Amino acid sequence: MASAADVGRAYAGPPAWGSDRVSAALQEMLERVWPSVVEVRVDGRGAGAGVVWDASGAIVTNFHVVGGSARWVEVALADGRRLAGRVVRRTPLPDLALLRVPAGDLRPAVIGDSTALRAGELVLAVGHPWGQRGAVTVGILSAAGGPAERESRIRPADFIRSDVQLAPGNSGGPLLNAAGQVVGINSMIVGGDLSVAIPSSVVQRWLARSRTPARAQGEEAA
Amino acid sequence: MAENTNVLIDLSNQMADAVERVAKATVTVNGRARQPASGVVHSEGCVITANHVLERDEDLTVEAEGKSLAAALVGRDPASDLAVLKVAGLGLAPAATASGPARVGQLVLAVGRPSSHGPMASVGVVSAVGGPLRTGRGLSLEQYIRTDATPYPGFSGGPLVDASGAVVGITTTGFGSVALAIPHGLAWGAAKALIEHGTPKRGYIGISSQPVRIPGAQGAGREPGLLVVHVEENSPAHKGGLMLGDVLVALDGQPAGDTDDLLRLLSGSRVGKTVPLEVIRGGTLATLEVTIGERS
Repeated sequence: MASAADVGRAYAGPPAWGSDRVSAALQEMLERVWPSVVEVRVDGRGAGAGVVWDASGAIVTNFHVVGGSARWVEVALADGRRLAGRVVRRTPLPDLALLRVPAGDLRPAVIGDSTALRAGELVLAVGHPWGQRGAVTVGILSAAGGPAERESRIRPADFIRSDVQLAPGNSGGPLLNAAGQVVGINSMIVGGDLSVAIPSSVVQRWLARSRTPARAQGEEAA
Repeated sequence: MAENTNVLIDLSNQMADAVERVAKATVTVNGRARQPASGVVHSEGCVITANHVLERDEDLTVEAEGKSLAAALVGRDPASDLAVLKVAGLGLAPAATASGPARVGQLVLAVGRPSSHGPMASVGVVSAVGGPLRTGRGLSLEQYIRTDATPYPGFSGGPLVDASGAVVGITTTGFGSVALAIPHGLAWGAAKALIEHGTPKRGYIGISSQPVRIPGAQGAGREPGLLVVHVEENSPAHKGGLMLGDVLVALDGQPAGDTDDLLRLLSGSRVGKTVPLEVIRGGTLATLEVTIGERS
């Protein structure tokens, strides 16, 4: 781990040719993460991404990926399998949906602590922008919380802002920290260049609530 | 965890540390009707911000550490879109500046404080270092840094920092839609002049001139020049040997075809420097050395 004392460290000059440790580390991390990222298809077309939350078939995505009415969606796993996913629960706010697929051997993502995020730390988005499977974009956390956008009813602490590039097809996919842990679910873009994700802590609270009967308006227990 | 992953965690921590460091010297600047902007602590009680974000001269405030403080305008430097504010009771330590110039490809973070909800940041690289850039009539910015770090609304006047949190430049979107940064050397120099004189540093050489076209062969491919019609006694031009009838064609390697060009070339960091002056005298090109004086 870097300490504050390391930060001002003098630059020792370029490393030897072929010793790009940052890229090697990124590739290694992505190899671990990719199996946990799925594609969610609705009515035969790619709609977004999803994150394998546990080995027994729970997948988290966005509400706006599955829409308000579909009871079944298609889940394409990274290994090529295509499974029928049942929409177990969905809420427009937060923009989340829980799917369940009939598989017991899924590779769940490692979930990180979104409450420990700092502005400036490295984040990566994995998803399927414009249908490009498993595409990766890199950026930093722009702000750990902040003023809710005017049109949004989301409370400030309820979203993460970053400068990673997102496009349609990233929705529902993971926002990862430098350790490859899921710290958010990519959800929307504000002003063309600010990416917004739902923090993993919000997702976990939401999932905990979904084990009790749905009460709130707009929620559905199928 | 694999050793490789630690490289990423180190990088991540370093960037977050850099943001945290400079955020302590980054303030919110309220000087326009809508979106507040950012500013950087330059020295004890003095904040550098962007000129274009101050739409008024009075009723300016700076927000720092949850307090709102009254700010007085010290001066504006439109050539580099910078301004300096004096803030009594600010009590923040000045931002550290980078030890060298920006390098193309260098990792940089744009940091701003567009609201009271804490700092914001984006990452990118130094895309290019360019200049001079014409920034108005008779005004030029000697050098600028171009970056692909996103300038979120309210980032103008805020710092562009390296991965250690040291200021590489001051971000501005005041020269068009692309984000540029004023290199820290120029910015700190401009701020010093504003703090000392209230106005940007202006150089002079002490001539009166008028634009002329240079006849083909003599022009040696050059376009217009400035015919010297008067040389002030004991002025820098006089000391450098400039004479009545000389045609000035370039100063410090930059064409000086009209008085606007000359004004631009005499601003900022050239003041006090000895620079080559190219003149056509008696049909041939001659190079003189002139030390640019400072107009008081």
